[in-house]
Amino acid sequence: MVDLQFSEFLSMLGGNLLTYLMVGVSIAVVVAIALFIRYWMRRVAKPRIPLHVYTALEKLVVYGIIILGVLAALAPLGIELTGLLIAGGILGIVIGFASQTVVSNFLSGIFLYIEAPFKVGDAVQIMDYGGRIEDISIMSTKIRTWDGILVRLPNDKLFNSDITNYSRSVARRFRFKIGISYDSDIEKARQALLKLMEEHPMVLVNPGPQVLVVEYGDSAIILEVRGWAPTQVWFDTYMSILRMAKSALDRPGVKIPFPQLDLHIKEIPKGQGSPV
Amino acid sequence: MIPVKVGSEVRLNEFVAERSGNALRLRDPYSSQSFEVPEDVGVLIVPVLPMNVPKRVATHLYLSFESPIVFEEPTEIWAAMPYEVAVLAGDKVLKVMSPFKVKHTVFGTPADGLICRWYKTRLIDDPEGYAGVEALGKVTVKVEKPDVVSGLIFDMRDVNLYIAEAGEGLRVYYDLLSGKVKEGVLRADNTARPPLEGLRRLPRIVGPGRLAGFIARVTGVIEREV
Repeated sequence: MVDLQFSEFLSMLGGNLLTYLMVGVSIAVVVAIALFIRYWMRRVAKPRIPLHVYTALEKLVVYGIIILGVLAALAPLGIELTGLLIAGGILGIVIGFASQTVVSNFLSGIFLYIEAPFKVGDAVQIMDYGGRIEDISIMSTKIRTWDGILVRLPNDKLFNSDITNYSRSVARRFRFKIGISYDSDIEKARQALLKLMEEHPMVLVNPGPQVLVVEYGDSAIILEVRGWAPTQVWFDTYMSILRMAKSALDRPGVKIPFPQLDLHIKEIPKGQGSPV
Repeated sequence: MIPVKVGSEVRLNEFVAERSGNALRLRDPYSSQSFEVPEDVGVLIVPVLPMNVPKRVATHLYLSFESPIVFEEPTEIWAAMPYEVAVLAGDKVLKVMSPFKVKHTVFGTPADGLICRWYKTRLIDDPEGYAGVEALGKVTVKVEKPDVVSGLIFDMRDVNLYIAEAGEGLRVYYDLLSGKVKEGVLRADNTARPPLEGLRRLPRIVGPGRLAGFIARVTGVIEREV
């Protein structure tokens, strides 16, 4: 009797050992597959994808494979997967509702990567913030404003905003208005401003500079000065031309008037109407 | 290269270098600057590619012809080209200045074109008798079908400059270029060869060690002053 129970015990133990061994081997195989996939991703995908996107993707893929693989490998031990999956699904729904913003930022980060409206170093205007892109991550984008302040923008807000990228073109146009007095010679003023831009080394030959009469204002004739400059020196060139415009007009005697109002005094003969 | 000796003045078109005692004064249409340079230190003016003044924004040189040129068959042309000058004290580059007017243009569209250094050029019929200050460049022209050409464009980044003695001054040359007429523009590539025999290749200004060796080997001026 004792021999029978012992041999039954040995048989049961042997069977369980085999099962445990199979489960262990399966888990080891799953982990090996996950590590191989990680190795392959690092060789092929990592050089091609921005680091912040790749890091999240690698973790998602590798841990996803390990979790699903381990759960499947545990099936011979009689662990009910169905219950786990249902519990996991419910947990996922709860977490999803609680972390809508996080998920939204994450997905917006993916879409921003695909669309790539800007890259690190670009000069941009997003919502009320103008500056240079300092960092792009899967959840947020950081801008260093022109005043040197670092602003963190959640990607979901950014994705739904108007994004102006000043760095995407090789050249940009500057323009400003300047008023000259009505008794000034328009053509002298135009030639003086055109000469100023023609002599500046960074105002482009093509597209060429222009000076246009755009308005006959109340106090002055309004000229619009337009020129193009390479993007990397656009601001300095614009400021330089703006600064030198006045002295360029002073030389040929063109005046920039203050706002003016001509007052006409009319005498009303007696008896024809009463003054106010 | 042109040495600037104590008590002398060197003029190259719009560029002026004056040296008296320890004072060295440099000026071009875009800047002027003074330096204190001991009298026993040699000062040299070395031609360099026109990419630096007032700031490096261009990789290509666009030469606009005074009048459009009709190309019907393969030919060779010589054109006047600009350069800048690096002023060296010993083996240190003090400043880079421009003897010629500096302008830039976009070749293509402002969205995605090329920023080019622009220069209004003219064809030189007699390069050996040329007495001007500008550099000379030779271009062999391939013509697939006759066209009217308004300009010449090429990438400056790998181009070499050469010098030859010419009377009391020096003459600067560009690498021989090989051009093809396409859509109204002569697009040229660098052959990395001198346009003539017997020219001396100028170094690229990349570091003091290389410069010092070049100066001592080529001019002899620095050695005599030392």
